[in-house]
Amino acid sequence: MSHGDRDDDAAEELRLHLEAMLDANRRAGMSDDEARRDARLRFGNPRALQEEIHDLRRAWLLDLVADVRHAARRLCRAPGFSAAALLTLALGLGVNTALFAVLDAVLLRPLPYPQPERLVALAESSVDEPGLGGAVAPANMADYRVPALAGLAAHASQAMDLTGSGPPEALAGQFVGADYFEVLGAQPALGRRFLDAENEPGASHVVILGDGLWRRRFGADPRILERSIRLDGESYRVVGVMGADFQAPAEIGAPRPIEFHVPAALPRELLQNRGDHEVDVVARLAAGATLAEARAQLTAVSERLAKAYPDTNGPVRVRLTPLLEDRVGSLRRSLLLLLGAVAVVLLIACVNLANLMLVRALGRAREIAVRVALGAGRLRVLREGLAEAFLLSLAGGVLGVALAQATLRGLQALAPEGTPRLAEVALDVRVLAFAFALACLSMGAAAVLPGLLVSRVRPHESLRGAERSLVAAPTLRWGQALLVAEVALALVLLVGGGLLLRSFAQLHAVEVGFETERVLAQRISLPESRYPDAEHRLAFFEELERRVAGLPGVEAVAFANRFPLRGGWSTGMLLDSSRQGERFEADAQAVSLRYFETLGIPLVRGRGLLDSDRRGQPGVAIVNQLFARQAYPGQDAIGHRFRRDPEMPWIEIVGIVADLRRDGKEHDATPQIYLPAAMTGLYPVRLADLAVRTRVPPAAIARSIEEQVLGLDPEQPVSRVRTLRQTLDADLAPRRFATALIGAFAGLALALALVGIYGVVAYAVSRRTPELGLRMALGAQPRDVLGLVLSNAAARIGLGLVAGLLVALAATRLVAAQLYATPATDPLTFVAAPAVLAACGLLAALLPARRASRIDPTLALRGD
Amino acid sequence: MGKTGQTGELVQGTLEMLILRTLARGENHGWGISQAIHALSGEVLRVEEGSLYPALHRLELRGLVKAEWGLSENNRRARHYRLTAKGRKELEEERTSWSRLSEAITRVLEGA
Repeated sequence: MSHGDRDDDAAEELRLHLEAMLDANRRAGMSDDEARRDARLRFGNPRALQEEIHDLRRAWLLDLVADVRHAARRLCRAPGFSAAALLTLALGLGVNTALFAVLDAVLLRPLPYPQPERLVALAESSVDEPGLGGAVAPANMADYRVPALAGLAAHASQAMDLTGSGPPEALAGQFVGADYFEVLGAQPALGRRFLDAENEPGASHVVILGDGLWRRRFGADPRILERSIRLDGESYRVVGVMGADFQAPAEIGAPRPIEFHVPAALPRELLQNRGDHEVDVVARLAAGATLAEARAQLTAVSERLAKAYPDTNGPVRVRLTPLLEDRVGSLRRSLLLLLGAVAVVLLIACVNLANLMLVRALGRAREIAVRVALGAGRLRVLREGLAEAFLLSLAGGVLGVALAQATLRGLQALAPEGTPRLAEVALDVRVLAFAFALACLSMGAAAVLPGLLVSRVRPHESLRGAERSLVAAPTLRWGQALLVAEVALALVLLVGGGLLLRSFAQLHAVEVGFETERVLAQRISLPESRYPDAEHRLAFFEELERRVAGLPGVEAVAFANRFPLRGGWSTGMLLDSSRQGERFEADAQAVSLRYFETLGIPLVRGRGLLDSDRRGQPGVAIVNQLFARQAYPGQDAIGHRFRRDPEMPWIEIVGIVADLRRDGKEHDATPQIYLPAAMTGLYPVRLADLAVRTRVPPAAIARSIEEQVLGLDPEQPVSRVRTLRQTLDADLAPRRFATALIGAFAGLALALALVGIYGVVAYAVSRRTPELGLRMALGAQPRDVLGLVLSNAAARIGLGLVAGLLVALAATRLVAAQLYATPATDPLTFVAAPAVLAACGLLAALLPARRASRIDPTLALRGD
Repeated sequence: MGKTGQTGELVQGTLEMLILRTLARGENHGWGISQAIHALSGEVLRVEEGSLYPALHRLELRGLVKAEWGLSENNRRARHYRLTAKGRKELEEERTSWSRLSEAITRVLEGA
C-alpha cells in the first residue's frame, strides 16, 4: 500500500469515527448542534490528528527527522545547556580544524608538479658532520646520473640587480641546470624552457621570468618575449615566463619568491673541482624505479668516488629525500606538537561536554523513568539523546568551522615569514569533512556515558525518588572522575606552555652585546661589472659614508662586508704563537672606522681603528675579548700577530673590544677579528653592508639613504633594509609563534577546565542542597558548608594535579629539544603551573560553594 | 512529551497497554475501543480521540495489532483492529511490569 492510500484510510477512519460519535450523542438526546459541538470538542482538529498519524506512518528515516525536530525544540528550551555545549564544542573543533587544515596543506598535500611523489632532493653530506650541509659539488653530478634516476638538475639561489626599466631593484632568483624544468615537469606559460646550448658557459644571456616579476615590473606585457632586460648590468633575452601557479622547490619555505631563472652555465673550473659544494639538486625517479633502488645505486657511486678522490670525496655520501619531505620535513615536529596540544584541548572539551550531557540526562532521569515504566522503549529514549547529540554536533560543527576560519586567519597573519605553504591553507572540502567527522566523534564520545547511564535507569527505583540517590550516586562519581581527568589534561598543556614561555623569556633576556634598536642596515651589493675590485668598492662606500653622515638625524655611519645577524665570514688564522699549520678558527670581518661606535661596542683595551690604517701600511686588527683569551691564554694579546696563510703578511693586534653574539641570541659569543676595511689586501670578502645609527626613527631615513646611493650610482639598488632589531625579531619569530600558540591553547584548556570545574561543583551543590540544608539546620555555620564544598573540590583538583604532573613529566620530553636554557623538568614551571591551576580551580569552585553556604535551611529541607 | 498524566488523561505507554487489553477480548474498531475503555474503567478514563488514533497506528507499526476494513455491528464501514501474537505477548509483559510498578507506587504512597 502506498502512503497516499494509508493517508486516505486514516482520513476515512476518522470521518467514520466522528459520525459514530454524532450518532451516539444524538441517541443520548443532544440536539444536532450540541452533538456536533461536543464531538468537535473531544475530537480536536481532525486535520491535525490526520497529520500526526501521517507523521507516524513515515519511514524510519523520516522518523529521525521528527526526532531531530523534537530534539531541536528540547534544546531551545534549555538555552543555557545548549549554549555551553555548543561553545565548548566549537572551541575544541575550531582550533583542531584550523590546525588540521595547516597540517594538511603544509605536510600532506602533494607538491604542484606532475607525479610529485617521484621527485627527490639529492644532497651530499659528510660522514664527519652528518647533519651538516647538503650542497652538491657540480663536478660530482655527472657520476650521479644512475639508471634509477630519470634526470637530475642543479639549482641555486642567485641575487641580481634589475636595471634599465624603472628604479634599480635587487631581485632574488636562481640559476638552474639544463634539465631543471624537464625534471620538474614544468612548462613556461609563455615562451619555452632553456635549450641545452644556453647552459654552456659564455652562451648568450637568456632569462625566464617569474609571473610576479612579469606583472610587477613589465605590466604583464604579452610581447615580453621580444624584449631584453638588464640584470647586473648585462642584457638578458627573455625566452619565457612561468605561470602564476608555478612554484620552484626552492621557493617553498623561502621568505621571498624566486623572480627569475637563468641557465646555470657553470664555469669549467667549478665542474672540475669535486670539493666545491655549490648547488642544490632535484631529481626524478626513473619509471618503475624505487627510492631504495636509487639510494643503493647512489651509495655505490659515492663509495666509488670516495676511493677514487679521497681528498675531496672521502667523507662525502649522497642523501636522497623525497622532495616534499625535504621542503617541509623540518616543520613536521612542531606541527605535530601543536596538533597534540589542540588534541588535548579537544579532549578537555569532550570531557566538559560529557559532563554537561550527564547533568542534563540526570535532570531528565525522572521523566525518562516514567516513560520507560509506561512502555517507552529504551532504544527510543536513547535515540532521543542521540538526536540531540547529532543536532549539537551539526551546529557545533558549523560554529567550529567559522572559528577555524578566524583561527586560520590569525595563524597566517602571525606566522613567521617563510613558513612553507602556509599562505595556501584554506578550509576546503577535506577540511570540512574532517571538522564534521570530528564534531560527530566528539559529541558521540561525550554522549556515550550519559546515554548508558540513562538507558540503565530502573523505573521503580527511580520513581521512588531515587533520582537523588540511586542514579545520582554513580553519576556524581562519574562527574567527579571527569573533573579529575580535565584538571590533569589542562595541567599537561599548562606545563608545556609554561616551559616554552620560560624558555622564550630566557632567550629574550639574552643581551647580544650591540645596539640593535636604532641601527638601520642595508645591503648594497656592488656588481663586478661596474666595481671590478676591492679598491673600487672601498671608494664607493667611503664616498657614500661621507654623504650619509651629512644627513639630518644620522648619529654614526659605518660599512662592512656584513653587519652582525646578516651573515659573515669564518676563517682559520695562523697565530704567531701556535705550532706550524695549526689554525685558530674565528669570525672575521672587514669594518670601517666608526663600526664600533655605530654598533655601540665598547673598546676594552688598546686602540680603535685609525684613518691611517690603510692599504700599504702594516696590517692591524682589533679582536674581541674571547679571541684574546682563547688565542693567547694568560698573555696580553695586544702586540701578537697572526696571518691567513704563510705567504700573507702578518696582522698585528692593536685593540680589544667587548664580546658580542654575532649570530643572535640563540648562539654563543664567538672569537672575532675586525680588519680595517681600508686595508683591502687583508680580506677576500666584499664590502656590501652599510649601517647608520640614527637619532630619528630609522624608517624615516631609509629613503634618504637610498637617494644618496642612487645619486652616486643610478643603477645601484639597495636591499635588505631593516634595523638590526627587526632581524633579531625575525630570528626569534618561529619561537615566539610556537610559544604564543601553545600558550594560547594552554589558556583555552585552562578556561575550559575552569568551566568544567564550575559545572561539576555547581551540580554537586544543587544535588546536595537538602543535605547541606540539614547540616545547617543542625548548627553548621556557612563557613563550615563553604569549607565542606571547597575541600571536596580541592581533593578532586588535587588528584587531577597529581595525575597531570605524572603525565606532564613524561610528555614534556617532547618539547625538550625546543627549550633554550630551560630543563624539561624546570622546577619553577612545575610548581607555578599546578599552583595557577589550583588557584583558578578553587576560584571556580568558590562561586557555587558560596551559594551553598547561603542555603536557607528551611527552604532546602522543604524542597522536592 | 514528558508530562506525567493528570487525572482523566492517559500517558502514551499506558494507553497502549489499555488498547491491547481491550483488543484481547476480541477485535474492535476505534470507536468501540474508546467506548470499551471508558466502560471498563468504571467511566473514570476517557480516551481522547487525539491520542487514540496515533496510539492505534503506532501499535500497528510495531506489529502488535493488525487492521482491516469491515462492517461494524450496525452495518457501518469501520477499520477493525485485532491483536497479533506479538501483541498478546507484549500485553502479558506490560501487565506484569505494571502490577510491579503500581505495587511499588502504592508502597511508597502508603509508607510515606
